[in-house]
Amino acid sequence: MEQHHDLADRLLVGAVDLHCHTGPSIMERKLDHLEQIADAEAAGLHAVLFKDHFYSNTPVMATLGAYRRPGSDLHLLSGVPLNNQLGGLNPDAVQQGLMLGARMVWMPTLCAHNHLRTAFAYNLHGRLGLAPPTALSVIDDAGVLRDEVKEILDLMAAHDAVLCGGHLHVSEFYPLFTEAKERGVTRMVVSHPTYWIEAKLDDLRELAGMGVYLEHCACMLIEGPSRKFEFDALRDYVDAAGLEHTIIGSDLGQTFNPRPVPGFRAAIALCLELGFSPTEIRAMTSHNATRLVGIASADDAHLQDCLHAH
Amino acid sequence: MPIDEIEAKIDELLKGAIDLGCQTGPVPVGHAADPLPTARAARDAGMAGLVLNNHFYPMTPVVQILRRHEFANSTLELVSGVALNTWVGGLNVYAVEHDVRLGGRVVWMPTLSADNDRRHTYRQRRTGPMTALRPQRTLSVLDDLGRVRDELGPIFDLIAGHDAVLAAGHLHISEILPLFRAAEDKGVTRLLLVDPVLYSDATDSDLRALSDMGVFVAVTGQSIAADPDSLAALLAAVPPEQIILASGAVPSDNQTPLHALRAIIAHGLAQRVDSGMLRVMLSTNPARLLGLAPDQGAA
Repeated sequence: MEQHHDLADRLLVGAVDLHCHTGPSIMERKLDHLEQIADAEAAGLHAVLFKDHFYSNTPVMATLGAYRRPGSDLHLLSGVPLNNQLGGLNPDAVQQGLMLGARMVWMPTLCAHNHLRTAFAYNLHGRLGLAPPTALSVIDDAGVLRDEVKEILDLMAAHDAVLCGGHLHVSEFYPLFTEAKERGVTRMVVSHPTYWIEAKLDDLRELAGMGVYLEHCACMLIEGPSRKFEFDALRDYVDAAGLEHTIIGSDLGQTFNPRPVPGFRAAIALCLELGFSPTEIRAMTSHNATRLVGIASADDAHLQDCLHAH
Repeated sequence: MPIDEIEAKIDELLKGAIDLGCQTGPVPVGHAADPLPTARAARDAGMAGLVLNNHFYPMTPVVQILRRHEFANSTLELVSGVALNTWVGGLNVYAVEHDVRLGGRVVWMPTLSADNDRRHTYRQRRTGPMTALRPQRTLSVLDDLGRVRDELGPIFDLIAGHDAVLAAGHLHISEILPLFRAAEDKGVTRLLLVDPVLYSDATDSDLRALSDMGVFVAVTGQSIAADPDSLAALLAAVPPEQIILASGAVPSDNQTPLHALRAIIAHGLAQRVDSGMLRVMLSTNPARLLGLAPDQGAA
């Protein structure tokens, strides 16, 4: 355990969290972007992707970069979330975000038709007293991918951006990712495929075979109020999709959960408990993510004694 | 007046000023200042407020962070809002709801996405920076029968409910008059017309009618660039209690909003506008519009 403790800290150095929910937000958040930047720098993270469901953090990070510690090379990543607040599946929102440096485009999350059905009890708009969302799907009534989605995919291919499936249903992923690949999108990911998305192990296998990364979320794995899975579920997910296509993100920032950096560390510690090797953990918590988003990999010099080629 | 005397007068007038037209970015095309040095320069000049905005997305998230940290104890009020262009889905009630919930205080009707803007700028649009963007669907606040669009009803409700400002500048006067009247009927009390000389085709009597409704009229450097007499003409048509001076778009990356604000103050001084009146247009009126100071009521 003592050994794990030290190793988890060392694996946090150079780690990449592609799923961080910090404020300001109309959802209550435990901390804001600047506090997360400070946490990430203190722990030595390599990159953080800031995700709000309702606005793009791309211009925000352009300004907040000035507040990084001198000499900090923490990557501040961002993207465009295609919910109602940006006009839904809006190619104009995508284009301006990509022109400003957004790396990811999220298909609808909290406004996804699938979310409003599968997660109807979540009822964010009801709890916050917001206007009822207009439900969004990437396919039309006949199951055919919508034209505006094709325009979005073309813009993304031109900017080599990352396509995230958002909270669409797994059944929407096949037409979406098939068309994305045909149009030249090469960077694809699905977040928490086994929660709200209804992907089965066979889907993880097939999606990984299409080149899609599967991101499992610390908040659903580690001990805490948002835990959704048995601790060893991650083993099954990795066995299905393969280590090379498995990513761990925090999905943290909720007031009732640990802060994203300690939560991410807890996920690393859980992986060690489950018997994943430091090399495997490094793949899932850093290298796969940097490869997905297309940034330089983290420096592993401080881990040379425990990493192995595989 | 000697140059250094003018500069000293401008320094003095900047103290307590609120710039309603502070365009900050980054932006995908055109020029806009970086919000952080812009806010620091305004604070250092002793200004009382900035309304940070651009055509493409709300500055509200970054403004909220700055208000929470570096500017937490500053006398500089950082304000923001949302412009209802196609980049946020146009006349999108969800965009408005989100922005006012997050702390936004101003809702601009379509600017670059206004159909009326396209009618005025069709030449620039053939070769200018906008050609870098995919063709934009343009918007009017009126439907084909000339009625204020239904989607504006809930938008007015949100603006009224949050006591926010409704602003328009790129629309035609034939849209602005029914828009502002309909908004007022729904309880919107803070109304702003920006640079009417540029796109609105409003006559002096239109401007007087709006001013009588309590609408504030902002003049930025863009009005002066388009027509050097526009400030004088506006002062002849509308009481100074309803006029606001603001910086507006910066013409290049080397220009800052503070430069632009100084330039319009210099223009006012050169036009022999009384310093006291300039202060009303720089400080008192924008504070009344935004609700940052007690409103003595429309003139």
